[in-house]
Amino acid sequence: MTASTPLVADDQPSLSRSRLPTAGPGLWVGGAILLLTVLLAIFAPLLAPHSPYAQSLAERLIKPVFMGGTWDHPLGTDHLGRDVLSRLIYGSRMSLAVGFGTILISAVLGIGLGLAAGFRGGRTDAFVVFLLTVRLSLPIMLAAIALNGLLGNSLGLMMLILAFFLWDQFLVVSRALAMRLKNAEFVLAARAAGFSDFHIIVREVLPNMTGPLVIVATLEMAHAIMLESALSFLGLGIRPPAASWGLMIAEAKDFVYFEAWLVNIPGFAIFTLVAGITLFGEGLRTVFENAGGR
Amino acid sequence: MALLEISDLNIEVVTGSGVLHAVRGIDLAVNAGETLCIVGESGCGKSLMALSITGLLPPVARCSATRLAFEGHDIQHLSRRELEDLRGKGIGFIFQDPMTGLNPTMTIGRQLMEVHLRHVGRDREAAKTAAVSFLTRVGIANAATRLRQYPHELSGGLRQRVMIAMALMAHPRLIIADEPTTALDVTIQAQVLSLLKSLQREHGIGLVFITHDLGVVAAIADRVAVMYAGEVVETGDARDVLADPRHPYTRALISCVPSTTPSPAGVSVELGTIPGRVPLLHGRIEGCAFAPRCALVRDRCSTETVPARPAGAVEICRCLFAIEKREFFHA
Repeated sequence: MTASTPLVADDQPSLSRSRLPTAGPGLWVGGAILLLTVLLAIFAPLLAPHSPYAQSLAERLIKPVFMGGTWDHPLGTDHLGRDVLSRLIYGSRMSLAVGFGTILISAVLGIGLGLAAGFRGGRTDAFVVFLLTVRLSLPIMLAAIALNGLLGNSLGLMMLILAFFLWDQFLVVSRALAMRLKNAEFVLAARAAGFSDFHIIVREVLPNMTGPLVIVATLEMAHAIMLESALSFLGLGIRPPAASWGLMIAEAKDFVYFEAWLVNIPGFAIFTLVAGITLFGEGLRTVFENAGGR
Repeated sequence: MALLEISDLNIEVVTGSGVLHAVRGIDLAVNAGETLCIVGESGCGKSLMALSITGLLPPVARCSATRLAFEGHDIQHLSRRELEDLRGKGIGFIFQDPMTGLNPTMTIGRQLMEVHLRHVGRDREAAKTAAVSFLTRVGIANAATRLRQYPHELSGGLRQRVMIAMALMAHPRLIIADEPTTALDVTIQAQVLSLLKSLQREHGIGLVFITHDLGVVAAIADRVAVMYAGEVVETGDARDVLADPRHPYTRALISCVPSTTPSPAGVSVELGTIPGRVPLLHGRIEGCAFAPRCALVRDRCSTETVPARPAGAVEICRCLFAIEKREFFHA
């Protein structure tokens, strides 16, 4: 090595942002469904042709337009003469509120426990794994029914109860990632640079977990929406006359042999949203897996 | 007063198969502006020793020392907070792998600025200016543009430069570099070495450089410590140790370095190897740890305790026959 060795690294900066890896149609179809539902929920008062609560016994059980109904009630009316389309639109608010709200709470719970367990190891880890085992041994539906019956039903309570049962996947994933990341060289480098554990968790570790955790969040959100519908169907969730897709099915179940569409329409809505969110989550998984290789 | 003084450092690692005595009674000293190279095979405890200096050992490892002092202050009993302040600001670290040593989710500008914000001052503009100036100083052109890039957009050599800049950001007085050039190809390696050397001279930083590459030692070391099985077997001025090693292990290490001078036509020179394996470090080692692999071993080697004493121009050598056996080496 001579004194004239160039000390300047002279390759030019390449400013090309790496493009999004190919994801397949699932991400876009699922994303579109989710986005559409969010828009429906936000603009419900503008989009709904009628009030979701307005009853008119003279106009009860009108068939939807594709079965010979009128455009005044495109998806027909229920047994109390309420417009099904309007109730469907307002019902999306419930589903999304429960979906997002539950995930927010359960993510905080699960990721907090997962980071503590993964980072501290030892007894903390043993205790958290014990909590996980206890949680996994509780049948969600049964326990949720019991808690709902015991504590009453409101939207907030519903989110809390569901969140109490849906943190396990967040825990499992964040614990595994924390165990791996705590030995990553950049985490050691950050410790060697004098950063506190808190700083390292917030700035170094969490950002490197977002990919997998977002996937967990979408899948658990679909789970939460299904559970909300199921509980509402059983009369333990959203209280009438509020509109919820599960509740709409419950109210229509007496007519299922004669007016099946009354059950099918909210059922189809639940199916579409849950499938959309799941597709979106799987699409994200593909994107992150493709991106992980670089 | 030495910048860093270590005496009788011991590190034990608790493993599934018992307690491993990874580092056994090491004494070292580094002065300001001096480069100390620590050489040894994989698993001889050199990285653990480096980590122990600022308390970065993994939880399974325990360390104890009669003295572990930085700038005259014993740092063994510092609180966690004081230790965190010392890391980065007093003692900077450069790690081996530039591919995994930077956070992939943050731009390099952010990563550099955070070190400044943590140790130097809360002013974001000043932090940015400092980041640009250090990137320029480690020889990165277009520093202002580079700040906005993520680690995956940079080559290995550039990332290692970024890591060096990061270690310098808080103006440490001592830098510990754990094989910082091992993952780089030779031309980049030479650039990084001369960069480190010039930065060290410019700032008067003490440098502890851990490597298994004797070529690197020859290029940058002022002093060298050769480690074997958790012990320092030979210490001294780099030129003296490389020119006239007194310990058979150092001798053997040097013979393992391939030469670039062509051998006489038709004659193939066999590359030296050291037979045997590094001993297991579970129990106490009787006598000399290197005895089972030593070409010059005698009966006394496996029973007698080996004193650390000067031999020839070498400061300290741990061999019973450091002085007497010289003729064997040259035979």
